[in-house]
Amino acid sequence: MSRYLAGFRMQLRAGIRTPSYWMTILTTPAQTILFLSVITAFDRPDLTAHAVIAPAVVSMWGASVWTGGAIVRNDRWGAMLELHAATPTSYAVPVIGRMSATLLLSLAAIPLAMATAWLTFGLDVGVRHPWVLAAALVVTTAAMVSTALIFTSMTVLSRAAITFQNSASYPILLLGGAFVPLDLLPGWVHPIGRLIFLSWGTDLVRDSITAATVEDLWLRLGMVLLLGAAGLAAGTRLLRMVMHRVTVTGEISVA
Amino acid sequence: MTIRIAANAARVGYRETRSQYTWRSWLFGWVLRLVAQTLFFAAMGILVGSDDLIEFALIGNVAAGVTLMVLGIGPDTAWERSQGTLPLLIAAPRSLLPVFAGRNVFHLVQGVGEGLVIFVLVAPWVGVEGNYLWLPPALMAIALGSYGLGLFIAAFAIRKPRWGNTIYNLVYWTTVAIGGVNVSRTVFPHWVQQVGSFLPLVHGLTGLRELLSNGFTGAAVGQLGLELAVGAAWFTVALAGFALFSQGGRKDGTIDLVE
Amino acid sequence: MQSAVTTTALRREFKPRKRGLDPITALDDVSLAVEPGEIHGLLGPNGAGKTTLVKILSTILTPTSGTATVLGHDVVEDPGAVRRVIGLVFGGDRGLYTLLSARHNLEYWAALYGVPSRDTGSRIDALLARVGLTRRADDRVETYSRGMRQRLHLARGLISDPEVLFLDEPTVGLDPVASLEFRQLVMTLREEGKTIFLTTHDMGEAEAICDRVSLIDRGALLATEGPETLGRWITAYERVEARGVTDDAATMVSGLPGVMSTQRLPDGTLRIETAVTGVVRPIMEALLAAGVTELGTRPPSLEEVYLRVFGDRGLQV
Repeated sequence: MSRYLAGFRMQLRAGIRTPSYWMTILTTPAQTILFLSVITAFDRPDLTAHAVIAPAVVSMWGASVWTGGAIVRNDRWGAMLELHAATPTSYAVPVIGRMSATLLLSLAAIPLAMATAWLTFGLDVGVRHPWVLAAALVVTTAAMVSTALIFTSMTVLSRAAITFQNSASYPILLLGGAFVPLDLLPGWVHPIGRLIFLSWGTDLVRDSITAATVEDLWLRLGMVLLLGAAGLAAGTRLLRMVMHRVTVTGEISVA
Repeated sequence: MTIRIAANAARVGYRETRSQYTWRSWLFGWVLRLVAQTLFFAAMGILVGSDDLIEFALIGNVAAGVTLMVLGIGPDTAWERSQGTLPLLIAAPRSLLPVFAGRNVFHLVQGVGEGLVIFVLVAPWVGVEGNYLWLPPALMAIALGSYGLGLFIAAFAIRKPRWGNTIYNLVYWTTVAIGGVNVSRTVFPHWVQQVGSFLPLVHGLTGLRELLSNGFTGAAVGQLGLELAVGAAWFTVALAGFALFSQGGRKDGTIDLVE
Repeated sequence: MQSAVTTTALRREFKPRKRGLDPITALDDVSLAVEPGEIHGLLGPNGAGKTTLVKILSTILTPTSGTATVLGHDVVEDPGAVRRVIGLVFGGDRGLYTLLSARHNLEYWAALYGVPSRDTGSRIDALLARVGLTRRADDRVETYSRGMRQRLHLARGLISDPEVLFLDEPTVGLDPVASLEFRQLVMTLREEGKTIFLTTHDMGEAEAICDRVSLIDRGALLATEGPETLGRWITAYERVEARGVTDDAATMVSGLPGVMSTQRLPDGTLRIETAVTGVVRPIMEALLAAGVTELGTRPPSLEEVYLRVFGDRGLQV
């Protein structure tokens, strides 16, 4: 735990000076306007929650995938990857801590999107179940960090892997129902989409804002956590394998 | 002399790209991402219940993909600087511009190619009507129109490498938000449309839509011409930016400052 | 007594970048032993395999064949145990989080080494004082000089209070004053009983601080010597360099006893290499007598010494 926190604290300190880690939230206003312009053009104010949540989720998922890769890249070029490998601590632990810190900062995308909706289109997003929203955001954020670790571990392998890491963003956002809920997509993608934590998370977040009553709350929170934990297990294992591989090939160093 | 430097740099640019991607990583990484991104926005039509929007957003996002790629030269330049290869470039006593322009030519070709690939992969799912043969020249115009702004971001990113990616994303998403990519620009107040007129992609995309629905009309040619004019204008601004940077960098020695 | 570090028939190959080429051998049949409490130097020119050996010993690279142990723990079989007892220090500019302060860098690594949090603060204060960074402890590392960064590197390597410390070319790129300060710090560590394994390409450095020196070249160990042997070589193969020497005087000098060769450098300087000790003084006196006033002695290069001592086994100059 103290090792996780060390990563968390360190990233908060460095992160303030590293805009590229949390900058994705700066694109939130522009993206909010994008989604709002669509629902306005089609006169669907009932979809305001969709349009406000989508840019925040896009930013946050982007931040988790991007940050993980940037941390590894930076550590690799700076020879810190080798120094980490020489410590008794698994590299995954501080990396998760560091990604968590960035994601915590990126949660600001939510109020930012709401403020943009109000300032530009005069749309007010009333939250019906604030506690459910908070819980849904917490578990979804944790699951984002955990799942992004899978893509982070690929970055250790090579520069070309950055491209793969990049590819993680939109397929997950599409199947995770970031804007269009999974249930509206063609039926054959539902089974795949339900294996992604994000589809449960985004549905729950939207329901917490608009639904009269949130059904199956615990089941749905549990699904986000369960799938997040699966991502964490896979990511940790993958990172350990990859770290071992680069010590065998020597690719751990760039010099 | 300038041409020779640019040609040399273009070769370097190609090799850089080849070292960055393998065919597999390009196809299953970058192209997959662009396809998913296009589908993500096209799917908005499902949510609001409009098939027209699906098609509209598809064309819009194919074109936006070209701009995304071309604007990417901004952060790429910052990356080069962080790799320490930039001081070497500066040491060569030439203006920076031909070097960067040459290195980035490959981005333009790649951007257009990717736009076409995405279209081919996504269009069959959606069923787009129109004469697709207009797609390559229109995408090329958009690539050229976006290049000037890309260079401008590069000029900025060299001075502020830590902000390169941020500016790139901000510019790109602003362009997509107000540029008529997913929904007609008429939804915005007049002044926002005015601002949009100075951004790349906007006119080229209007021209492309016109070509696809009405064929080779004067309106279409006019819009593509405007796209090129916007590109040229930003190119001029970038030129000034580079001159400024080169001077400032030599004077205060910040060029080799390691981030 | 058990050795602190051992390697037996250690070999490491690297895959070449291009396919079809033979693997590159970075280390070949390296067997050595480092005794507890000694400063053991690994001396060799660039590309000799020094860094590869340090990486294997610090578990960040696996050997192709052979074995290596640190305090009895095998680096391949039980890397976790090795990591708990070693510290690792790189030379050069990399390896620090430059956006953070020295203190925050150390706090981070202390946690990763499992230093109990109640001890962390006092240990960091002590280390900062020891490496002379107390006053700048809360400034960002990017504002530090090379020498300060290197001292912070050392503090980082010591954060877990390791029994064995690996220093990989720690003074590379440092100015003479900073190098001297750094060496003095390393000497104080020996007094605490730490075992230090240090790589360098600087013969003078190896002679000055090491208890024993292993000589390595092109992946192979040539010999392990005491520092006095190195000192003898440095004196024996000392060169005389003089400017403004006429051709006649040069011919005269080349005939003196003990002179192995004379050579004109491109700038006109005459370089005189000696084969035995004790001849430098007569050579310089002869040059002075011939009216030469700009002259001095230079230590030999490592490559030269290798060539003289090990013949063809050493580098081709």
